[in-house]
Amino acid sequence: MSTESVQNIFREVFGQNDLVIFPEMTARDVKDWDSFNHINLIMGLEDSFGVEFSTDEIASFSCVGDILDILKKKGVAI
Amino acid sequence: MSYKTVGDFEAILAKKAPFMSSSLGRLRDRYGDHWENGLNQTLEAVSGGDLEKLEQAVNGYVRFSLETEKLQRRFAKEGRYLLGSQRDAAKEVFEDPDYMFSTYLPGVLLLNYLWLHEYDHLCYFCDDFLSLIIKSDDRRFCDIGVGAGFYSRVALSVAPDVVGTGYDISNHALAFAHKQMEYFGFSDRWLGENRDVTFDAPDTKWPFIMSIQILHLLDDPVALLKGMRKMLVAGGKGFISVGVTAAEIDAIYVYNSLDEVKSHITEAGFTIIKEREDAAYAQRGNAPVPRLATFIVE
Repeated sequence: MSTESVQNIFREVFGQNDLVIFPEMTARDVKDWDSFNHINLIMGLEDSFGVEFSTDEIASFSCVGDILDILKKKGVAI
Repeated sequence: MSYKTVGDFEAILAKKAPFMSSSLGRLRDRYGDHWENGLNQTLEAVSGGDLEKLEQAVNGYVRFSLETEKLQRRFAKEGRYLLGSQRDAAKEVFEDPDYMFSTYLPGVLLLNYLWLHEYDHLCYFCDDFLSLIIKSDDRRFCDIGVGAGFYSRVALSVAPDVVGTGYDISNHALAFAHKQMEYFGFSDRWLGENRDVTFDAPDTKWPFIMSIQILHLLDDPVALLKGMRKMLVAGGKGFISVGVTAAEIDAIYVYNSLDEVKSHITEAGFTIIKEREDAAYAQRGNAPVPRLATFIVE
């Protein structure tokens, strides 16, 4: 299931095996979610789902829900 | 002391890009009032107190930062920068007004206060180079590649008789820089001109020349350095800084080490008086870290 895949990517990037994502989750909720790890997250999502995010899209991700919405728009079954 | 515009900027950043907002607190703790006052002035110059314009500046800075971070990852994989030539950079970056005003110029302006190594570079410029201008009877400087006009503006701020000339190949950059000078009341002491000094060096000579993070944007950095050497009066001083393994949208020439930069500077006939290197962050794995190599020369 794709949401689970997204969660796994979050767990890998932030090194937290018990991390549970939710749509309203932001960087304030996750330790070490800085701009460096934001790009790690983006690249993990791009590699995993075979999509590419524009700079404007990357800049628009202020919460997990934004990421899930853009993935859906790119045809990923979330 | 509270700085309202920094507070507004921080609030907008926290909403738009929460993964970036913690950096302001770290910068504030590290550098204190001097940093915050400078950032506040710069934000006010960009926004004029208008929250919508401030939000646009935040958006531009966020886009620029993320784009640069992504380009750095690409460079780590491929070992080369995105664009292959100055001609490409002119077409893709400098001649695109939408990109320049919405992203590039806000980005290169605000990073001076928001990226640790860039603020350290600014402090070095003020402490070790502007101090030379203050001691001099001839307080004229030439700024080659003015970008957002930030370093020209800082130089003009140290004394009321400092005067500057700025050259850039982008009319959009010059327009942005002029607005900055107007805001700070420096328009009558600064002349900005569209000129490619590599091919069209002016006859004038200056006691102080600066080239802030330009050489790695060129096809032939040595050619510019040789031109700059001719623009310096005998006994004059230069401030030259360069990106090393630092991917930016307009980066062309890959410098892999401080020594590579030094060899170009000395090839052009300069003597290096002082040097330093500032890394953007601590080494992470094997990926190259963006660095700033800075030199005071004569």
